[in-house]
Amino acid sequence: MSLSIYGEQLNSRLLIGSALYPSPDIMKKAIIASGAQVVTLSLKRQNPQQQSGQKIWQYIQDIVKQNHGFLLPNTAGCKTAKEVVTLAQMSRELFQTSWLKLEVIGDDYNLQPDPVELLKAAEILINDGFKVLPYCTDDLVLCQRLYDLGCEVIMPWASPIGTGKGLMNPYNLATIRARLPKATLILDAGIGKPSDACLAMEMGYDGILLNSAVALADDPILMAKAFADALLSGEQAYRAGIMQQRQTAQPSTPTLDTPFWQQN
Amino acid sequence: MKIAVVGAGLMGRLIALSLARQGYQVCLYDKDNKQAKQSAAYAAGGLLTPLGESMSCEPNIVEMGFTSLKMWPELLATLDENVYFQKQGAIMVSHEQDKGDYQRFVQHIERNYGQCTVNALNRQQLNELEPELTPQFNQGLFLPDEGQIDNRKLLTALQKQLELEQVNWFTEAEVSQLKNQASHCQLTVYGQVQTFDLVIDCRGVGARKSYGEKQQTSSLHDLRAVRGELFHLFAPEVHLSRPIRLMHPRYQLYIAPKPNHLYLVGATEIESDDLSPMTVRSALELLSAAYSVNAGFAEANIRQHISQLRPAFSDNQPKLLVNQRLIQVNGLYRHGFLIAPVMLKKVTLAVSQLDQKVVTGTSI
Repeated sequence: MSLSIYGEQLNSRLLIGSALYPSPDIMKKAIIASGAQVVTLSLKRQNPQQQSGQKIWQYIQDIVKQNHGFLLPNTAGCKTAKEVVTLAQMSRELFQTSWLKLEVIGDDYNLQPDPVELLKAAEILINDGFKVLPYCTDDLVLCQRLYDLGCEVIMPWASPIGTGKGLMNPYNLATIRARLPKATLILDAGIGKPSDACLAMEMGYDGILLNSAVALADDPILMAKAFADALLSGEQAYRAGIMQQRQTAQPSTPTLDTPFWQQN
Repeated sequence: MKIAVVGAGLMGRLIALSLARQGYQVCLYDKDNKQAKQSAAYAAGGLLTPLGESMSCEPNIVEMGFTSLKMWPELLATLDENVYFQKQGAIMVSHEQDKGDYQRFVQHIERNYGQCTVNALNRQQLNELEPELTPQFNQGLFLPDEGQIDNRKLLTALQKQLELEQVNWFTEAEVSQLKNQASHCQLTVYGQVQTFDLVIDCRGVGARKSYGEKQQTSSLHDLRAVRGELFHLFAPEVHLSRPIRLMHPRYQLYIAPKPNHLYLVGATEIESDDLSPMTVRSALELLSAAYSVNAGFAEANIRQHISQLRPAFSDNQPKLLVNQRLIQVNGLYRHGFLIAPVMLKKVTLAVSQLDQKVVTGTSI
């Protein structure tokens, strides 16, 4: 089963970041091991006007090509809609893609997205022809507003960026899934371990975007593979239909041969 | 053998001096003057902290770092000028919000470097070791075998020694082209072609240009620049005696105390070949880190702010490439001073092997 992002069908449901790896070569091996076909890339700090990050950008683009995937430039580090729009236009020109991971930070301490600026920026960018993938908090109404603006993909957080705390509010995330059945929902940020990713997939999320969980592992390449497996497992479980929980035990083997005094 | 060393940064100076002392006829070329203000070595922090680096480098670098730590005193003893070198250990601390990164580091050391001496310290022990560290640190690690060196002093000490050895040093002499052949290597400088038996190219990112059209297929095709920024602070109110490393989610921040109340605070790490001055964001991050370690930095003078490029290959490993009559030393990344003595030994070995082949007439 493939993941659909703005009309593009992808075999992998994992989207991966390109920061914090021990070396570009390890990043390359990890991304290839993960099978991820969407690789995010930040350009804010690379002085994009001068194209000073050309070398590493080219390197990342080559990896993306190898996985038959797509580059997803992000606006990490921006704090206002105005900043975002300037950077977005630059990134579209540099990378020849209208895809954009929209990120507007509202709080320096936990890097929480700013919902007000996010909506403002999303509207401007969509009107300008961008295909926006907004990174947002797990607020249902915010997600609905973004969807109504024309974001086909919504990316609520599991927990703050880089914390690895996993799904902080499964109730909110389940509600968003239930109320936006047609949106492509990708859980972004806060994933710590493969079981977090698996859990989100079991809840019916369409994909997972992560970076630190792989890049900061002792063995990023092995961890990338672990995540690929976890996503596959969770997605299959969702499609297979997970059994309902029950309050009392129900033996899976017949108990006819068990004497009644041993059954309580 | 007539040898040209191109690039008079740390490696170029060490190699030129060592070869001159062995009796080779050595010419040294650099686009800069002898102060080498454009070199990565001039900008560096001079930390010799293999375990401190171990989180973001492979085990062979850590090993080379420990070997080099043993070799430095011997090497410095051959210089007439005194160079500040210290091996009193380094301290690793983290603020409460970065505790996750700190625990990750502890776990990494336990898993991979269990045989090394590492002392976990509580607040009181930290205070006894470095009384001026802010009391907010609840825990830290003492890495007793780490050290540091005064990088700029070493560059000038090597300069004096090279002059004493009467090495031909061509300053402001940019090598624009290198042509490597089976029996000799030619370099173009000031538009003139010079022929040598051997050329050792020790330039960092600057080496990329002079291999012409073949650049994409050359051995340097994946050489890139990683921008680093750091401060020189003059802080008479601060009395820290050892390098302090502070856990940070994005950089490896350090405060390196040098003689005369000078403190180096660095360093950012940005995938970029932009050489423009330090950004405000980086300045805020570095200075607030220093201030959070000791409030005395509030009254420090900012002597210098530096931005420079580290040369790195895509595996972040240093490379020594021997091809016909050309030796390339590059990609020392953030580990120049950490591994320089080991790299020097490798280069001198490669040169003597090459020399023997030349003398015996064996084809190379």
